Amino acid sequence: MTFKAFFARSVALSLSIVMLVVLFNVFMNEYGLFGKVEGRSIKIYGDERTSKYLLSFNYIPANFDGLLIGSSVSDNIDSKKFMCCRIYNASINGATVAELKILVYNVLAKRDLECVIVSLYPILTGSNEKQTSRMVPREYWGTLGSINTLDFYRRKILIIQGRLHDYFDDYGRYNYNLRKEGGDSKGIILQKVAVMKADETIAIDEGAYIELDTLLKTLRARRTKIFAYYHPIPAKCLTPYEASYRLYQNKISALFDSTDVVWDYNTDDFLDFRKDYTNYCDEIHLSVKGIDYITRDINVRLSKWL
Amino acid sequence: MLFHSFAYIFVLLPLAGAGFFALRRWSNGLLSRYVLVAFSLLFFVCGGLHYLPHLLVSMGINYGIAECILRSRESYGAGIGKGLLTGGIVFNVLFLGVFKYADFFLTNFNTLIPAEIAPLGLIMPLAISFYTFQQVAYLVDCYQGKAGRSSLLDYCLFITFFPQLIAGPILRQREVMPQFGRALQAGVNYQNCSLGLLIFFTGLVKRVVIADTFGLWADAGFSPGATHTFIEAWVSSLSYTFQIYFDFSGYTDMAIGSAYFFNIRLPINFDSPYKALNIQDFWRRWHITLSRFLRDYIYIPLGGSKEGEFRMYGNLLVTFLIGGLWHGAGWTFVLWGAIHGVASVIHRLWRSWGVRLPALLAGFLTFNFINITWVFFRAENIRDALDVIKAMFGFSAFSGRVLFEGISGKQQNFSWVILVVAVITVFFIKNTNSIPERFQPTGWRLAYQVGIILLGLLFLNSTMPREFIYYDF
Repeated sequence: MTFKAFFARSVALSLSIVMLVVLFNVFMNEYGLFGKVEGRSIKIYGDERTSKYLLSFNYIPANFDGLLIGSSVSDNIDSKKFMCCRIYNASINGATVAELKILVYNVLAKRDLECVIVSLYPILTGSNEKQTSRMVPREYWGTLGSINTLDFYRRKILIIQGRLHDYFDDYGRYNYNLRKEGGDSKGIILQKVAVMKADETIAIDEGAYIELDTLLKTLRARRTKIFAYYHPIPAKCLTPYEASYRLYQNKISALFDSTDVVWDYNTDDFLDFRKDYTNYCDEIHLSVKGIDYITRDINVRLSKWL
Repeated sequence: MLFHSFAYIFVLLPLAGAGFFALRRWSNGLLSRYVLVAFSLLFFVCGGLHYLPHLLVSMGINYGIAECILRSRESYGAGIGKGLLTGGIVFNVLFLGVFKYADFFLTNFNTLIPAEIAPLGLIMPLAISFYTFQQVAYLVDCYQGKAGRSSLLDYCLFITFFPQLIAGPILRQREVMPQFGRALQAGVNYQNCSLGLLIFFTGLVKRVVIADTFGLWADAGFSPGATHTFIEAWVSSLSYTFQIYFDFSGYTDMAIGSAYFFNIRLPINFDSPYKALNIQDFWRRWHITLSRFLRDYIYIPLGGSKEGEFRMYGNLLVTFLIGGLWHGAGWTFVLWGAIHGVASVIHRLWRSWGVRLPALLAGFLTFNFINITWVFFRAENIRDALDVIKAMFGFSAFSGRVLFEGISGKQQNFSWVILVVAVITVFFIKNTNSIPERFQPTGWRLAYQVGIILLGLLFLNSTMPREFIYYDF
């Protein structure tokens, strides 16, 4: 082989393989990034953050009228059960406002939203940092062929073969109850209470607070209805730091105005719910029973309000 | 612009190559040179347009001084023009000093006196350390008659030729400029293109696959406030030791590979440095063009080893201190340079006693010395560095779980694979410098080359691009 042929073949072969991979991934369109995706049903198989970030470019705006944003505490809410409109559960495990706003702004770049449900829990405003470097525009092109793409296919195949649990649905719900259910939630809660300090405080990051305020104002400016709720905390866990929690609530509630609805599941009205250990699968996350109750309750309130 | 970007690989490099060779028959290659300078400046301004004036001013003044030195040499003979050379060196030292070291000196001055002089807050121009040293070398070479006259265009090409502009190798005029004429005459050389492709993508793989993986561990280990157990401290330091090697040698491979497309052979910058058997050997293998600069333009002019043993040790220390400071305006870099200087002095003394260690033991000691001193190079401050080193020798605990919790299990598993690849690459196989001599256009080689290209592109599209560590210097 001459060097000319060698060079030409190196370039041609490499480019051909690259093109094939790119075309295959565009054809598969696993994140609904390209073309019309109305009516498609796309589940999450890869990393939750990256996947929801990518789905927010095209799939979510094309198929949903509203969003549910929050951290892991709302990640297992089955938003298919909300009857008011099609709501995508864009909650992310350990999410901060800094991350969730990216998803919301991505969707708003394509369309207005009818409503956004905000699940309020301290982690949301505890930091203004992103928990990952993956929610970046570069990931968009990464879908054409990258390590993440390979990992996506690996996981998808394993899930289809039944060798991995299928935790996510096409509405963004992360059904971690599949692996967390049936644990000793009472023991976990009591253990948590035992290590809690009496003067436990809740920090609100100033940057995150401003981000949340800006996000809410942007939504209002786009005539999006905002329904926020404070995630129900087990009664035993709330007691040691209730004073601090109420201060946190006051400060966060100040961001909402009269057009919004802010609902608190940590009042005495829900004390029985919060006292019942079976509503939880660990010290904070809701069990199947608990999440069913909260989902139904939110659904009723949303239906009345919207 | 970064070498490890699609814009560089698929747009700038091919267009620059095509333009360079397509126009070679016009105006005796003049247009080709213009094209290459234009692409080089484009490459540079992609890193920030605001850095361009510094580069142009530095080139303009140095070219003027070099011309004066050469003319005075031509008119009055050798030795004339010392004042001009001194002026040129002073200009370059001040230029580098103001933009890179002013705030460092002011901060320390304020602490010492104590005074309250406000820091200048100047942004360090991109690549200033590299193009300043290259031009100092050129001025000295002009004065010594080792560099010939160039047109302004050729001078611009010498300084800005994009494969070496940002982070070296630090070139000498006589080793690269004559090549451009021959390169244009020869036209497209497919052997060089094939070699360039392989060397470039080998560098890319080193950078985006290996260095980035070690970078995860090093970043976790050297993050501010990190505390270390025995294992964590060693993992952190070794990760950085491998990261900096694969990062910088990967960069150099990409530079050398890029230059091959233009039929230009850049000098090698690395020669398996972690196989070194002593500190002197290490500096002959690590960042070779910088070592060469420090030797030829600092150590030897100071007197080198010709003015007595005691003076030689002093010269070594001064040279290494300058080398350390060149890497960054901080005490960690000064200390790093000082430790290497002291080690070099000890090595000379040891050698003069005639005691020789078995090769394996010598290599082990040298590698560990290099590894430990990189801690100073990487740490944010001396206290952090000492904390890591204390933990490395403290045998405090053998757990490594807490600090590295942020690294996922998948990444940890992948890191083991990369560690094995890295150790084999560093200690047991021939380095990239040997690729040209064993390169043959065979089917197996083709498969290997395509594999390397695809691997590089796959990871390039996967990870967050980071800047090269040597971008900071």
